[in-house]
Amino acid sequence: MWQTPVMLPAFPQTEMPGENPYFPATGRLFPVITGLGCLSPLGCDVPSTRVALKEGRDGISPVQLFSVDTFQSRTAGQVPSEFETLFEKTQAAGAGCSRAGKFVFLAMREALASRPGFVPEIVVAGTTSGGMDFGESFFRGLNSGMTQRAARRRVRGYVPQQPVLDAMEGFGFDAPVRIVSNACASGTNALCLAAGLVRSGRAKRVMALGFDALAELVFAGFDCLRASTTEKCRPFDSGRTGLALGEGAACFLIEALDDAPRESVRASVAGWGFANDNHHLTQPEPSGTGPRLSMERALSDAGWTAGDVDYINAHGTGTLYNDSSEAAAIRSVCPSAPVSSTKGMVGHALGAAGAIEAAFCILAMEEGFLPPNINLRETDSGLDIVANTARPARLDRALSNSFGFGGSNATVLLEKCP
Amino acid sequence: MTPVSILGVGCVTALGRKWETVWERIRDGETPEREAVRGPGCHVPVGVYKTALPDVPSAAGARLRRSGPISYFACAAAADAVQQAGPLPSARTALVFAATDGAVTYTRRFFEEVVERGAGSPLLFPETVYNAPASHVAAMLGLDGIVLTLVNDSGAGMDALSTASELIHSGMADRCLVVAAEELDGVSSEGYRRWKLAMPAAGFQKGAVLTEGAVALVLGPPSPAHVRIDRVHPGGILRRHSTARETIRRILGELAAGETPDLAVLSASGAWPGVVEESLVRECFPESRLLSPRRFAGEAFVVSSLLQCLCAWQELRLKRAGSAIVPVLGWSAQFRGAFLTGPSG
Repeated sequence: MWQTPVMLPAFPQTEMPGENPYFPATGRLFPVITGLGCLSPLGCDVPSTRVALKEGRDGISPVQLFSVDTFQSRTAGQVPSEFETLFEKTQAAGAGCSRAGKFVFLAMREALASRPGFVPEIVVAGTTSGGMDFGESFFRGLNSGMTQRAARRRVRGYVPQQPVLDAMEGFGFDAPVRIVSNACASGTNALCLAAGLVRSGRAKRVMALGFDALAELVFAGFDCLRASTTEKCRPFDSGRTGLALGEGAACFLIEALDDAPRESVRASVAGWGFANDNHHLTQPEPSGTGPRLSMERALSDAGWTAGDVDYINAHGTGTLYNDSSEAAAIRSVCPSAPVSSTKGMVGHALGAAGAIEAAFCILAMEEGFLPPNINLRETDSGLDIVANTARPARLDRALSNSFGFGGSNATVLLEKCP
Repeated sequence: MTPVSILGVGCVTALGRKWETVWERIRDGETPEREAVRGPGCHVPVGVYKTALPDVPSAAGARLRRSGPISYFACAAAADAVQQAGPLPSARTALVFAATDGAVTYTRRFFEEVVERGAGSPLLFPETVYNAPASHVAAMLGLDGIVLTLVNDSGAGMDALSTASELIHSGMADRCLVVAAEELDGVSSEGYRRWKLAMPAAGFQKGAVLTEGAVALVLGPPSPAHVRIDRVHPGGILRRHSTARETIRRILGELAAGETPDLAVLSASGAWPGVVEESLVRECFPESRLLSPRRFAGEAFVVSSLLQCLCAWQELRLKRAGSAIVPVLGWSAQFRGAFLTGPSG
């Protein structure tokens, strides 16, 4: 499947037969990932995450960040507190970053360190809540005599672009920033749009990010919708009771294969597909129309068939409706591919989820295993679930799904480089 | 960027909903009536231009019954733009929605009622996400293809135009509906007042008058019969005073690409960043006619940046200008812009 030549025929999507009538075929370049950074409840960097992912470690723990006394759910996936120590040792220490801003900085730092000399022309980031902790703090401060300076800092830090702008300042580069906020598909959307800029030749070096930090408002939101579980998060289990929230960040450096140092290439972004289902603001369409379209469009975009997919990292939140709808879509598109949701280990990191899970796919491809779907007792999904322990496997091609409120569906295909 | 044509427009503003009326009022320098909003714990009311909730097509009605104003604004503007542009192919039309503040009223209500008091409707929460308005617009129009929401300061409007061009150029869409929408709330208005960017309700001080509404554009491949967006600059960040002027000058030069625009539609709205922008546009393009619609229509971030494009579109389609530059200086110190040209026929 992997080809060294970089020019591909233009626009081979099945839903648009023939050449785009409006523009000359300009050819496409192979976008490859040459730098990777990742923080999640499994660890504060790529090496520790890789070990924990293979072990199938449960990263869900009692929430420490704020009081959960009034909520039904009490647990979440939290990035280990050592990230604070790591951040304090960096050049950005003391910059007054939000929690999300620290995640962004550390993920960016690890990615840039893994590909020296990479300076992005543009940054595409996905997030749902940006610096929400600053927003909460501003709101509470209104009633408690907050100083003008404190107010300004919180308002400025609350907006979703600010964590990225702050982190870039720490590294001394100023690239234009594009923020995607497509609910829980944001991280995958950002990775795909970033790869698209490289594939079309519009940019040579692009940084993609997904980030979100646990926040009280968001925790309350999922809790009051009764989407959060009060026990363990069990994706695809017949007795699943809901999701656990998570947090983290992942950063990818993307460039064209032709321009990339061969030794830095980690994986290619082989294709992607987006779809929108207009069923309901929070509930997926039961038969899985949106996820199915999204996966079909991705396969078509990459020129893959269902049999080419070695592994599916499912969105798999552990809610009743998501998992049944996604399982229906997978049964219809890739019925024989092994599937796991890693959200049982790390929780649902919302806008960061797609990026973190794409990073997991790359780590699994590099190590030759399929990440486990932990906490599974029995499944009625009709899928080949990688139950509870990692499965050794040759993994060359992975499909990762992300779906979100508003009917957002996104699928990215990642391919191992020879 | 590959050029795209503007095939249809729609807007919902404090100056009105019918574009011709809005344009006449901007051209004549009319401003809406200023009202005061005050958030919880806020002692100084902020002056704003409120926008009446618009009628929306019945197809949007059921979905919107629990939505905040931003979704009404977005659906109404989108419906008007689509009506002008003609029917859209559902799977081949992308929707790119842009916002700066997003659903601030429901976010504030959810925080007050559910997080702080522990009692409130859980149905508020899904409406707080940035992409909720896009979801309603897509459902109203039956769009099941690419639906994206972009967030940033005013420059997100320019990002949306760039993204639309990329989607059309890459063959992923035949048409792209770009919608920007914002709504007002006491808490967010107070935030901008404390940032010294928004004007208090009493008196006239430095600062912008905040407003709300939506603008929608239907974009398609370039055609000689329509106004074209030729270039959108991805932008630059203005970190330091010492280099900001040089960065703006460079971006303006790259946007114009050697041409002298007949018209410059500025983003200045009365807050301090606009002063820098205006002086540099005057310096770079001394012969260009200047227009500052935000001074009259108010500051609604991404909505205002697309409203600038609408003003340029108006002058270009009526051939009162052959080309126009639209600089956008956002409040996160990011500078972007667009360059438009008139129909060639």
